[in-house]
Amino acid sequence: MSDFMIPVIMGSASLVCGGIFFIYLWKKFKRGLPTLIFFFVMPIMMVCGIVGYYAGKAIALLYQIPALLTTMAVSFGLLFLLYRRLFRSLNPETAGLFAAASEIASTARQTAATANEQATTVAEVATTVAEITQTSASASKAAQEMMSSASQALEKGRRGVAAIEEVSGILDLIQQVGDIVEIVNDISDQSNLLAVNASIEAAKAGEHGRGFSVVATEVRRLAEQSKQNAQRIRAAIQKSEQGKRAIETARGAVQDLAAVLDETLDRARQISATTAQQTAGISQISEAMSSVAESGRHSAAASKQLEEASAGLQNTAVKIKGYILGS
Amino acid sequence: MNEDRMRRNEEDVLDRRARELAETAKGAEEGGAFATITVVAVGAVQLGLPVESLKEIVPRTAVTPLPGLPPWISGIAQIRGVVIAVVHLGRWLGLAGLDAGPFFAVIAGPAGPLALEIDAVSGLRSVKAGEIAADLGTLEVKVPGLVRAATKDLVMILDPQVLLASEDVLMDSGTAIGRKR
Repeated sequence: MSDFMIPVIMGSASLVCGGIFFIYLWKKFKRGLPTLIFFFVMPIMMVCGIVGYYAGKAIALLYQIPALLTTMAVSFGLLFLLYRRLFRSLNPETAGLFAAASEIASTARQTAATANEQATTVAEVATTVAEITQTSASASKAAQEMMSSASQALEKGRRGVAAIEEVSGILDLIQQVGDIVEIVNDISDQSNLLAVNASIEAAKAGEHGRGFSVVATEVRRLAEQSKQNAQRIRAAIQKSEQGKRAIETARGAVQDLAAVLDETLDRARQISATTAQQTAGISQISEAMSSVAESGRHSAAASKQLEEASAGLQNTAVKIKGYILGS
Repeated sequence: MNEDRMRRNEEDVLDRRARELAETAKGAEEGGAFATITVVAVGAVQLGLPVESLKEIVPRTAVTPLPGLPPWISGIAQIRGVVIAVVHLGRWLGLAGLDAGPFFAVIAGPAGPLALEIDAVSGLRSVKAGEIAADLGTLEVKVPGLVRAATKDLVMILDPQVLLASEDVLMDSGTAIGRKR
């Protein structure tokens, strides 16, 4: 066998083995990426091997050019047939890849749009939550102020009740004075009667009783003055009885007011506690909204990256399709 | 301050006494005094009881009713240890419907003391002759001579002796106790 035939045989054997291996891989991997890589690499390696081999043998092959050309023609012819078959089989795959990339890009755009809408909604919710937080804080402050006011009013009401108790005690003393005035009134009545009797006796004494009669008249006048003053005091005491009734009414009203204020204070405490819980809950909601917003931003960024990646994939698919169609 | 005020009051009282004493002496010198009476009230009626017949005026005490007596005899009461008859002056004078008075005017007479129920005591009054009304009108309808005179301001001056001598308040022993008409 001459040197000319060895590479021809080896190249042909390589091509045959490569073709057999290609068919095996083609069926094994269902036209997958390994097959594609193998099919691109192997022929290149084969060609490189053949070309390298023949480069070394170039000089020796000068005289064998016709045979070499024939071998190369046969080899390239086989390669052309193989590539043609491959590209034809890849054409639908490329179209599917393009469609998938388009669909991914569309989905990424929709995802990005949804993320943007979500971010907008979250921003609105965050604003609303901030307003609610402010309102809750105002309500809490108002409840605190109401508690303070109610507490002060309750304290004043208690002081008012104490003052009314003192006034009531004074009025009780006035009532005791009224009893004393009754005694004074009785004494003045008796003095009056005594003076009348003294006047009678003085009148009976005639001229000798004139001086005594004057004294008796004076006593009687004093008794009448005492009685009048006692009546004035009694009238004043009667007015004080009206005042006592008014004070009793006021005491009841102030006690009722104190009870209402006490209840108001309890309600204000409840409002304050509820508002504090509400503020804490709103704060948690705000934090959750911030997390959701951050997630939305990440999602939008990821969607953007996905969209860019799918666009790149789409371009790649277009280029591959161009290559295939161009072949 | 209070001492000055008390001294001024004391001086006022003494001055007033001196003036009243002088007025009394002047009236006695001028004459014309009709009677010295104690003005009492029975209901709305002002009555004058001459001081000569009036023993005293005392607060009302418990009255024990006696059976079979006329309505103007309230009963008997104990005054300073003495049991005396009590006459409701208003009822006896025909002023029906009057309640028991808070005072007794005790009058003295030959038949013994008698307590008259009265409502109020106005005080002593020295009635001048010029104050007496000329005509008594219809005041004499019930007991002749009981109303001795009437002043122009409608104070009826009674004669207690006529009351004590009335058969309405006399019993057989001469003690004022009353009997039915």
